[in-house]
Amino acid sequence: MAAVRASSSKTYFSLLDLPLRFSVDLADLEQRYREKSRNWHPDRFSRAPASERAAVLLRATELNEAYRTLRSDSKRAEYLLKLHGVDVSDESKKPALDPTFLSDILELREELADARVERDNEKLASIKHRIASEQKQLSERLYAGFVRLEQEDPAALSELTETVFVQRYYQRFADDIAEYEEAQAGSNAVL
Amino acid sequence: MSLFQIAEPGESKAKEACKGRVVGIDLGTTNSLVAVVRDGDPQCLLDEHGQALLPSVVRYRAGLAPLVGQAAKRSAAEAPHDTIASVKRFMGRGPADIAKDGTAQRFGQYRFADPSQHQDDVVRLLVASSGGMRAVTPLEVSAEILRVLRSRAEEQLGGELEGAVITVPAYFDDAQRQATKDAGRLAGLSVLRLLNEPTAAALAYGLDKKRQGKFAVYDLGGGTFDVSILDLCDGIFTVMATSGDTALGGDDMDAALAELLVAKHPRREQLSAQASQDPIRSRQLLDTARAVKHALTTQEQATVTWEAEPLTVTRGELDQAIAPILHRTAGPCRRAMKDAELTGKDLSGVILVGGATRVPAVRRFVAELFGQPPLCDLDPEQVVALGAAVQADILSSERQDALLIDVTPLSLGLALMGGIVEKIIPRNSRIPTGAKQVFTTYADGQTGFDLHVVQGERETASECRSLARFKLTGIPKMAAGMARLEVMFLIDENGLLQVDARELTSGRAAHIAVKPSYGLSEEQIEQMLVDSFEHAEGDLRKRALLEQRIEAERILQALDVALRQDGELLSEEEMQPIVEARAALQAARNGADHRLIADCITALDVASKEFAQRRMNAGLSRAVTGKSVGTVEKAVHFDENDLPPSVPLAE
Repeated sequence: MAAVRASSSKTYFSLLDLPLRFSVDLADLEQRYREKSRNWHPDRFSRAPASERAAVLLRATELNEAYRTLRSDSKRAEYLLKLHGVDVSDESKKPALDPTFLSDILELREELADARVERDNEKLASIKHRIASEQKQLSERLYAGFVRLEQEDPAALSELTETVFVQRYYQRFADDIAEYEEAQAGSNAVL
Repeated sequence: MSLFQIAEPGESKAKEACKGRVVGIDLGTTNSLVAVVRDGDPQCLLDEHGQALLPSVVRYRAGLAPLVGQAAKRSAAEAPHDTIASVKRFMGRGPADIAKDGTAQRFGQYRFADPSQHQDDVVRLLVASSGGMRAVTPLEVSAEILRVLRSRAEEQLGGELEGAVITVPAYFDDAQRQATKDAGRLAGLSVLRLLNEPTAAALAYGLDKKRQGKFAVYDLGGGTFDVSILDLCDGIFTVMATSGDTALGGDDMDAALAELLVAKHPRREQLSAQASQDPIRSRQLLDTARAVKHALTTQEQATVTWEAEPLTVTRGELDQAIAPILHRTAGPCRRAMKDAELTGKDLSGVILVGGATRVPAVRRFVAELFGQPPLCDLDPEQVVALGAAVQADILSSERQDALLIDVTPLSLGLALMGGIVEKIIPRNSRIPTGAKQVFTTYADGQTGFDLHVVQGERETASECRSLARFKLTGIPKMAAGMARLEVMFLIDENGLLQVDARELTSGRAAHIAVKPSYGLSEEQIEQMLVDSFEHAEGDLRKRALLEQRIEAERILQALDVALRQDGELLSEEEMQPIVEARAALQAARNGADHRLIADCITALDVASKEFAQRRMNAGLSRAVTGKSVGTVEKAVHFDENDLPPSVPLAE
């Protein structure tokens, strides 16, 4: 990955001894995290001097942040883009998004509002289905995009940036539905 | 030479020195316990009557020391105003909170102090004292319970305790945790760790039964409900998600059953009115209800005499009365399972914790909800204390067979302009965890910020739990938007918040004043320590010990810095006596003898004299003060200078 400067410097990937790649095996990540925790958890240093404990606390915090970031496709994508110099947490850097996409999202929002008011569970399920399939496609685009980025395709970076922003819209949407469902759930449902 | 290598020889000695003098404490809503690991196995310590459970009841008396436990519980009806039970429900909460959720009304027998008499937002109860009446905080009441457990442990272990792990409901927020930790300090305990109750239970369970797999812990205590999902694998206990309700428990079952008893009585209208006004009657009614609940655990029906009338309650009636309470536990269970990304069939087992889970209807409900019969082969009332003892043992010894990885139960957020909350740490993040935020100034020459930190899942600050207001001052004057203020929020391994801030352009650490939204200031706690009976007994020895420990800590740190920087000035033979003296001091510091610490300090001084001389000669005596790790000061008085609101850079 030539675009990443100072790849030898410490990243969340290097912290867990992983290569700087988008593709991550979650079971392997969990395993690595646990092995590091065995040695780095503050409980292992409960009798160390205060100065050392402070450092241990920061290191453990960093490990947990690394785990949280790498575990999620969207957070990992954002993090990798940041390493490539694109800060997607800055909304002002948002590229102009496809107008068709924006009108689609608006339409979906309206449908969701209707489904809520009408308590139409079938409609809700169909919206959920559409969101899930969009998210699946976006995820595939992320994987493909990062492969191209790793192969130093110059167009990949801006496309990935757009994908990440689009994905965020769908994620917010999915979160809203989950929140609504949580509020609606009857207490008798089996887990 | 690395620090760790130097530390090792001393460590094992220190660990041996305090073996067995650390305990685990379950500070429960209705009962509290203390446990210790002996010969590798955790066990609860019993009182002189052979009881492990200490009722969490404190009765204050004019001119006499408070009664704690069974004696207080038995005489509760005699002095309902002065006998505080279920104090855990008030920990870390404000008068407005308990008025809003009905806790204050439910505990109508207490005399709540007028909140306008105090500057902070802390519940206070008026109780008997030699001067008529005094206001006590829930923290002080809890400390009375902890003192009894502490002396039980010290008598049986034959010496002063080195430390204690105290358990808290997993769903406790920062203020409730802080209050618990402060109660421990007030009781003269060195709190090694606050441990989440379901995690403690899983630890005891997992080690005892050598189980592996994913487990749910359903913990219905006297006044709190928690559910945690854990993954037990190769001695690592990872909490995957947790949820709960800090105002839901067995107490609520008693209240529901009490209503049922009143409804069954021929003089129901009259009695209902009387019970609500007469604290003695209301207490008797609740006691009767509890007796019925216990009887129905094993019997199909129970008959009690209340207000001169024999009343019969069947198990079916009890089940119906408590059904709404059980249904309230389903939401948190579902949320936790969803956050853990699991379904019922992924679980290897469901562990029951808390006395209320003895009720057959609870077991049936849990079996249906999770689709499998729950495990109950360890005493659900002891398992939390046992797990706490194991964790205390882990923290104070070399045992490496278990490690707990816990999570923060609530999202941490910052209130932005307009009261919208920006989440900076999501719920169920593994702890310790942190988040950095960079802020800039809003006006030219602005030298400070106000930050409002909240906990909860809602989108507006008013619907979340206010945690603290921070006032950051000392930013150099610059044009608007020029200053770059980096604030680091850190949730430590106890689930407690720490905050650190620095101004990036000048590199200066900004001053942070924290006004906890609920809870007491450091000064108030100090004053309580001074005022407490314990301290009045003249614990000068303890103070001397504390001072020597701090001095030892300071010297060890300075030496480590010096060794790291200039260790090469010494040959290996020359290093040896320093390493030995250092190890001895470290061991002494972890012990309880202040004279020994003082002697070891002198010895280390002598041993490192030559080293110090060489460093001076080599002109290498650089400042070894160490970088300032931003400390959080708690200020009692928060001056209401209207600072402009902060503006986050991103979004």
